[in-house]
Amino acid sequence: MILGTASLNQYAIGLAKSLYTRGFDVAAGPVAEFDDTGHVVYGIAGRIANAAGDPDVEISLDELWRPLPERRWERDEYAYDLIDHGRGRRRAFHLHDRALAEARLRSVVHEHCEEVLGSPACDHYLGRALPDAHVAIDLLMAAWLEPAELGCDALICLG
Amino acid sequence: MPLDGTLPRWLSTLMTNGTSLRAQRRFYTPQEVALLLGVSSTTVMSRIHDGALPAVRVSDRIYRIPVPAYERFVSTEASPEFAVKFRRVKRVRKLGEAIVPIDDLVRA
Repeated sequence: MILGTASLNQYAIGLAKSLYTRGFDVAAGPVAEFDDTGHVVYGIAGRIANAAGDPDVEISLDELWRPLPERRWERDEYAYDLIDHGRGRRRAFHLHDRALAEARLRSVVHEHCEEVLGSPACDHYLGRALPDAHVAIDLLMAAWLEPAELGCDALICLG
Repeated sequence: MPLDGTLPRWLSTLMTNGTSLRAQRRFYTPQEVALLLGVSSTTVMSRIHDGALPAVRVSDRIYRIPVPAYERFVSTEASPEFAVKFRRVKRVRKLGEAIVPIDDLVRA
């Protein structure tokens, strides 16, 4: 995924809007941290509180974009996470530490799945590459709405 | 919906005590949203397809509408204007949990 500056900002704003229309509190909005190398990490976090005001669910969408010539950026890594406090479970889709992941997991992408939050049956599951964070939102929302188990035991454990 | 036209019990409960039911339910079906809004299921599906009402497609014909998304849909609150906040940092943060190298696993 390669975008120019304006498109990248619009993409990040679109993600914040998408979480907002799904009922999330996205008070902080999208935040972009950049360093002197030209790399940028976009972060968007949203939460829905329960009746008591405690977080029921939290979603975070983080992406690392590397600079290309002519003020364009390419999404190089991502971490899309859902913490379901209400049901005490977690779902996540990750692509980070490419070389290490390839060597250790034999896959650059992996997923996290915890039927019991904090007690994963497997640290990393075989993952699918996600084209963008909009797809991640749909997958994470589906996990949050799922009244039955997440189905972690049906995934392939990479270790 | 009961054939006599009365509201299902869950819907009556929702209308009198939305908070307690919201704590139990996370999604509505399109038919339930149609009842809540007093419109047809076709209208609800149109709003889903045009993107106005967010829904999760579970299968070819099954959609789930998150309760918070429905509440935002019917809310009269104006949508906030989002803007990207930029921050210069010494080095951008790493994403995800650290993956332990094989060598470290062997040593452990």
